[in-house]
Amino acid sequence: MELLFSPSVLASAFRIATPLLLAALGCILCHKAGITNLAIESFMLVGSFVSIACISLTNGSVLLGMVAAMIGAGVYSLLFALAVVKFKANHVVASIAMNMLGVGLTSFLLRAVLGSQGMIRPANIVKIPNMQLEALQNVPIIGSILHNQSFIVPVSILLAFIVFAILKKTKYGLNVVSLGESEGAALSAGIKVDRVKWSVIILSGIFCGLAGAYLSTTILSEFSENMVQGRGFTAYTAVIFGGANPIVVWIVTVFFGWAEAVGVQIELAGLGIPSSIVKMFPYVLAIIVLIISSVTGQNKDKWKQSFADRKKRKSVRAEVH
Amino acid sequence: MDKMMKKMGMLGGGGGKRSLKPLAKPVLMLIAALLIVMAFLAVSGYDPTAMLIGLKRAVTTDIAGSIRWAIPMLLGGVAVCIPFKAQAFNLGVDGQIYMGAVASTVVALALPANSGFWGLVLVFLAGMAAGMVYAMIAAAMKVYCNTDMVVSTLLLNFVAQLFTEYMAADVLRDSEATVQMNASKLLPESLWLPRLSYLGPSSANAGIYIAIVVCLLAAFLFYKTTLGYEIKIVGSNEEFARYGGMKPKSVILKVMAISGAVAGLIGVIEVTAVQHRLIAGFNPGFGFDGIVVALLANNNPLGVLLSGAFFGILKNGGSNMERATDVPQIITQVTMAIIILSVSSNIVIKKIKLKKRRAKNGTAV
Amino acid sequence: MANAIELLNITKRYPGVVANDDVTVCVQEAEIHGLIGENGAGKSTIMNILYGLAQADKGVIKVFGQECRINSPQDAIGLGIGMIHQHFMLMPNQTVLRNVILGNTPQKGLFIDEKSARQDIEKIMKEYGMKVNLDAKINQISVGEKQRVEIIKALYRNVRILILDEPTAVLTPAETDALLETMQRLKKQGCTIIFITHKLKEVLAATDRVTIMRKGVVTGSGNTSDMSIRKLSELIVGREVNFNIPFENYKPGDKVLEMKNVSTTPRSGAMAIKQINLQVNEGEIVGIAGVEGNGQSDLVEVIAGMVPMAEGSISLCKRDVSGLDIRRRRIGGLGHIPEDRLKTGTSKVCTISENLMLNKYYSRPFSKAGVLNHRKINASANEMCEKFLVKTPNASYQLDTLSGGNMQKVVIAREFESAPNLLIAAQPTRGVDIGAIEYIHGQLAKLRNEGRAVLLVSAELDEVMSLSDRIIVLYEGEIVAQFMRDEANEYEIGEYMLGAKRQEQCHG
Repeated sequence: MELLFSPSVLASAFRIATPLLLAALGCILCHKAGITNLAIESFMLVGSFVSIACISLTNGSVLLGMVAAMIGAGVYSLLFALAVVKFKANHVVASIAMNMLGVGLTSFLLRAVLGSQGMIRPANIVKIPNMQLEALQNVPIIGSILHNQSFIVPVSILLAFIVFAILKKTKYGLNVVSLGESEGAALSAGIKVDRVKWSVIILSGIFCGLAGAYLSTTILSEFSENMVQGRGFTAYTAVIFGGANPIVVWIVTVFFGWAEAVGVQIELAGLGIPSSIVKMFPYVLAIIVLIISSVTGQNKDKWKQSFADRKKRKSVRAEVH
Repeated sequence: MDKMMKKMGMLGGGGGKRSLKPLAKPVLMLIAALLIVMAFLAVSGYDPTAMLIGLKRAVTTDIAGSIRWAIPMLLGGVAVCIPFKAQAFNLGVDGQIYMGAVASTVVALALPANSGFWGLVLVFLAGMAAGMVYAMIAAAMKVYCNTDMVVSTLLLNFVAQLFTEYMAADVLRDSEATVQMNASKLLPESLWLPRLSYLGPSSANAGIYIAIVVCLLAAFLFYKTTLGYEIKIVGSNEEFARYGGMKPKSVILKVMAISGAVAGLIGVIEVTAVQHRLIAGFNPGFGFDGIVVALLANNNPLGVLLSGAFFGILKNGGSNMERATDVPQIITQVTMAIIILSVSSNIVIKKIKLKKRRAKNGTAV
Repeated sequence: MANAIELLNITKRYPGVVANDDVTVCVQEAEIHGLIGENGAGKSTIMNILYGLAQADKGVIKVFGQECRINSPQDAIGLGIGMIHQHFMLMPNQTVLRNVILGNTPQKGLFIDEKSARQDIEKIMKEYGMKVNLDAKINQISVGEKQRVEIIKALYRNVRILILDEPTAVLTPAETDALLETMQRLKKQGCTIIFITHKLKEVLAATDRVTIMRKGVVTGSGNTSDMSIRKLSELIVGREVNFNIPFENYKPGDKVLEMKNVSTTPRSGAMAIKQINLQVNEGEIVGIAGVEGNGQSDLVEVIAGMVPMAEGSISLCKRDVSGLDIRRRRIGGLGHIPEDRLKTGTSKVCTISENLMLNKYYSRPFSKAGVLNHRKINASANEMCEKFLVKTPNASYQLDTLSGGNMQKVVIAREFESAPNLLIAAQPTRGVDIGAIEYIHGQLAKLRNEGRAVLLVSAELDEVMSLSDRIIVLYEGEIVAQFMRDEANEYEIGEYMLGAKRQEQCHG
């Protein structure tokens, strides 16, 4: 059972968590601004496709593919922003539309532009070599993050801290947060609400583009139709459970990644559990996590209110005296 | 008078004079979406009229195919519009379809081979029950734990899909098959839902009658029953419903149960009439198609009859198009997505009118 | 003394009502100016116009003698005007500091310059004698502190003119004193303050000059020192035509409603009721008088079952209904005309008929075994429309084709038709034209003459006085006075309504 926490399992965990984390960061920004962005699923898919398409149509550079993916998904997200910000469409319905469109477009373009059906494995792919830091190999967690991993893994963790800092310490972050807390307060304070909304959606497109690109070019080396398979929704669940706090959400995504990695181990160990059942594990886990966060969310509100009341009573007493 | 006419037209159903105005908007959206897609095809180097060729076939030589696809569209539209009316989003129709398919296969394979009509009835009931129970999981999570149904149903879809894979490829697998495929044993013929043989060889089946009846039953539910009234009130003003003594939570549970049962029905029909076995991944996303059908019909079950039929034709048009030209049929999904986007952004027309009125009156001081 | 603000001949119309009718308000520099009147008087409207949240149809605004156009809050802020609304515009989970600097955020390189913001804010707090913990979260501080945050926010933007909209409505007496003190300090620093309120005590204690409004019109203005409680009361409450309503002799019968020591839980945004003892008998109308926001909503909703009871008991027709749900209370003889017909009392996208059948759709003959009998329902609906004078060709039209008065008639038709033993009528004639008002009053009187019990809640004192057999005054969630019909005049009752007086040991 020590295998559960072996360095290789942890390394898998961080690897699997990375696209979840990147998508979650985009989702966090939208969530803080009061936008329910479930279209991240399609943003990732577009990112996966554009990166592979770029690779097979050019010299095979994964780095170029990633940049193209971020731009592609960013452009794709403009459609969502248009529907939701300009035309005030229902966020959930618009997300569904974007997800359907994403699958349709990428599958279509796979045929039309890349001439393949179902999936494509560009033969000319030139992967970015993993970082080899032998010295850190046996350091407990840092080793799993840094040794024999794509550079995107530590970069994404760094991004989590950067997003955290942006939200806490910058003017832009304060403006974003104000939208989610009280649009009335933001409006009357003179914040350009629509502009902020466009910006968080586009940023989520860029983040998810990178997430999708990492998935198709680094974890795998292919694009297949509808390959994101709900990772976007899992990322959304992580955001809810993590209270939209980038650092906490990072931990949650690692947890999800770890669960999936353990699943792989179980399959490899040949315990006779069918692979379909093993693949269910991350989703079931996400559902359980969702239930826990809604139940404690209710209780948290009650607890927060009684804590706030106690503090209030103290301050009122202080005033009277 | 004019103002009253407009207000009554806007929301389909409801009282007073009936006008053709409610049809104008969705038809315009459809035409606009088709034009956009045709332009897109042209830009991608395909023949832009490919869609039209496919659609023409779908309504003439290949009516049978349109019927086959209309069945899940109609049922999907009903499954989605019932909870929508109560302001509950059931995005888990796909999962409920899978569970309905699994349950009906299990029962069908467990029954003696010559069970005939009553066996088929049992199979149908099992499928509907499974869909209902699966939908109630998400509903219970909402009512008792306040878990948002949007994400829970989406996640449950994946669980159901994997479960179906497991059942088809493992538990119910056809061990005697020469080619290994992710499918169950073939269902006994007596438990096959009959196809419409007079239309020639096709997958068009008696499910169409079931689907039409379900649409009519749904309409009956909304317009003629006390539950339908409660659904309407809860969906239009929950506070008003509470004030009148209704229990919104109980209404949500009921609509999800019905919705899940209808969704399960889609799975049953696919298994007993089209595939004759449980195949992993057989569901190409009927749940989300149902959302498009319902939205375009303005969540009106009678409207679903029309929009479901249309999308059946569209889907069939897509596959015909792929057979006739070389345009991938996935483009129909693109069309449907564009339709949802434009339907949900429907404030366009109102906004422009408001701006014009403000400009006319001018701003004082 | 020069004028800081001049609102000259402002007229503003909303559909169906003239909110401001040729209103002129002049506020001098560095004074505290009280703008007083009841709800619907038009004071919020004129201030929204000054702050750019609404635009006047006619009239001129001058700020420090300069004529100007104020099209948005940004314009107002640019002119040095700040407004603190009754419902705070704050971010609940953020610290006080972050709330104050929102939209006016100092930066040092890439990051917020928290240090200089802190310094500047602390300077302001010192100068004006206000103290708030800058690092506390908004949802952790008291209401009084929240208000101070709003004031600091305005001062951080260098406002010279501060509008306070009903600031004391949500404060305890101690917090109110602190606020009034702060206002004095602001005034000393040269700030001009417009203080909107309906509380007489504060007006007399804190303001230099006042403007009184009633029903969209200015009824008086002048130096506070020239005003008395009686005079203010007259100008606020005014005189209204008493409709001649036929009342039979007052012969109250059995107890229909009995409330014993009923309290509701205090929560933000609502005034809770405290230890209410109230009784309504057959054949009487009990009227609850009081300025809105003094607990009337909770009172009505706790009887109706829409708000949970924290303590006490309620019985209807001698049966304890404290634990019963809304449906069962209604079946037990409760009718309820809610104060907000659009939010609670109707569904405007449904037809008139659908709105009318809310109380009876589940019983025979309107439905049988869950199937509705539309013929009977529509017949009954059309009958009800005729009987209750709802102006519509027939009941299958959508509800929002009706005017406000007719919508209210639909609500009344529905609630009356179920023959309730107790009818709660909350603000029954709000937003309703004169003809409909007369009709509604007649209907309430008829119900009472037939021997039913009516609990009337209204912010219009003249309505309460002309209809009620017994008048109960509610102030800050408690019963502070009771009068029999014709026992007191409107100015006397007004004094209790406005918190100036209180009867000892009062209950209903």
